[in-house]
Amino acid sequence: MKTIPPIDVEQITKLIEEFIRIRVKESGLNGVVIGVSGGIDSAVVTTLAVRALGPERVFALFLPSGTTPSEDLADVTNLCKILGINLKVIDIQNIIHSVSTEIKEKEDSNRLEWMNLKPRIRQTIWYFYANKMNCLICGGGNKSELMIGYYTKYGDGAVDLLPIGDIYKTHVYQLAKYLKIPKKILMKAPSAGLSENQTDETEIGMSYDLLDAILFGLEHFQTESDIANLLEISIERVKEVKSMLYSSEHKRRGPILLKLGVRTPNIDWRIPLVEPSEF
Amino acid sequence: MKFQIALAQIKSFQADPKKNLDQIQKICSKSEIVSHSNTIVVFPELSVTGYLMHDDIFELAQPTPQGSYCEKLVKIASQNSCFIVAGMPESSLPGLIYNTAILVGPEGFLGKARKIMIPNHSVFNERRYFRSATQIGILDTPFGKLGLQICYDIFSPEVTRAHAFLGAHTSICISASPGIRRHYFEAFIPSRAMENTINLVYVNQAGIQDDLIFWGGSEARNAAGKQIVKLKYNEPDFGVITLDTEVVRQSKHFVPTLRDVPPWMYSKLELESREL
Repeated sequence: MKTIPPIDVEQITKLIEEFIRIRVKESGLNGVVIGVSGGIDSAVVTTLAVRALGPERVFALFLPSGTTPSEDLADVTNLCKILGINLKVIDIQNIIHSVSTEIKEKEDSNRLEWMNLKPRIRQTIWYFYANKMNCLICGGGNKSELMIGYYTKYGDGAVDLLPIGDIYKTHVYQLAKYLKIPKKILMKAPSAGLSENQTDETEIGMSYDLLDAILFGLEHFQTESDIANLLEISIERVKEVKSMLYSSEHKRRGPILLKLGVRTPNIDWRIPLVEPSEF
Repeated sequence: MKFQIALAQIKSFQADPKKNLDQIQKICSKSEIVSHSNTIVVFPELSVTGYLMHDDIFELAQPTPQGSYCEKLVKIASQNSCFIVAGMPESSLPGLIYNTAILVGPEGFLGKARKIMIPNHSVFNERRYFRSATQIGILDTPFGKLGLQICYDIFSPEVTRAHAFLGAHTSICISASPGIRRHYFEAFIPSRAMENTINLVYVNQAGIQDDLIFWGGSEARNAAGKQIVKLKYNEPDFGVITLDTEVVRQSKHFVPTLRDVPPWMYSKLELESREL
């Protein structure tokens, strides 16, 4: 299996730190809130945020549910201790029960709607604390997940910044090693933790190495057959990824609206992210 | 002739000419500039307004040299006895905007060059706003002839070649290049200098605007391709150098490409490219 070329971790680390610093500064807010999960992505993002802003401006929230592996709490606690940041732990299982009771629907953690409910509850709590502490929310989404839509729309996808959003999972591991993320987190099989014994690679249907190699080929305008030949895989594997790419495009865009006016939000009414001063 | 050039690699404020002109003023009043009259201080592409101003450009573009940006730059040049190259959106007829570099000195406006190659690919969206220039940017200055080009112009070797053919000893390229393009520019900068035996000064934006990081890395090469200065990557930086036109003269004897290139090739190129 061929893997994608490595990144310059030192350089990328510096750039992402600067990105976080600038976005927080230009927002005029105090710092960032990060939903930590005990996985590698949020560990990398939290570490980068601490390097960018200092530990006193990074607030970690760990929001486990009934399907969260028990070891995750210890991993998150250890990470936050190493980074010297505040960690707040809120079990969301009772909230899920309450939703089940109030909407009169039987809870089933193997069904999509119940799986997606968890990140949407988490998102609500992240924004509560982000508002309370005047912070932005940093998400842990990486390029591999984003490009195949392996996240919950308006759940873990509802954040202000995605510092590793243009970094493939393969490269997240490279960054994690450079940033000296605890080995226990590094070695853990990636999982969204939304159902019992869930792992990303089983659910996606291929390893991140293969997924990233296919996405990398598509990103660089290679044809399906070129990618299949280069990676010595069947063309169907490439088509699977392309299919995930197209079927998830609605997640990566903002809400889709019909253009009727002269200039339209999200389409062609374009202004800078910052408000300029009067000339 | 020897002359001093300052490479002012800044992070421009987006759509904020007030802050940018303040920044330009501050840099031009540095002791290295004030203590050496007639230094040419080069700022990046769209340094007066910031590169990513999006639709705010329709309010920000100004006629040049009649507009207040130019007036303010002349004032700064006059106060500090320097020359300034800076970038701004230039409005012409209603609805027509150019991506323009201007040169001003203590005595006033000296000339301008409009961007020829307007990128509309990858992260670039310039054809939404800018019209392509119809002339090569070559200016008569107290330092002799200078060529001016803007960023993506350097991807077209004909622009620097034209500067050399039209008698410029130095080509100044102002830029707003995001990181993904760095290795192209770093290959083109020495190539353009060496293949045309011309001094080449490249000044880039540095730092983050919106979701782009501009890679900085401004540099100057003499006509023999020797790197005279290299500024930091990704962050604002500043460097002052002395350039010598004598190296240009010597290089032209050693590498006489301008003598050897056959003119028929250009008419052939023109004809063929029209039919593409």
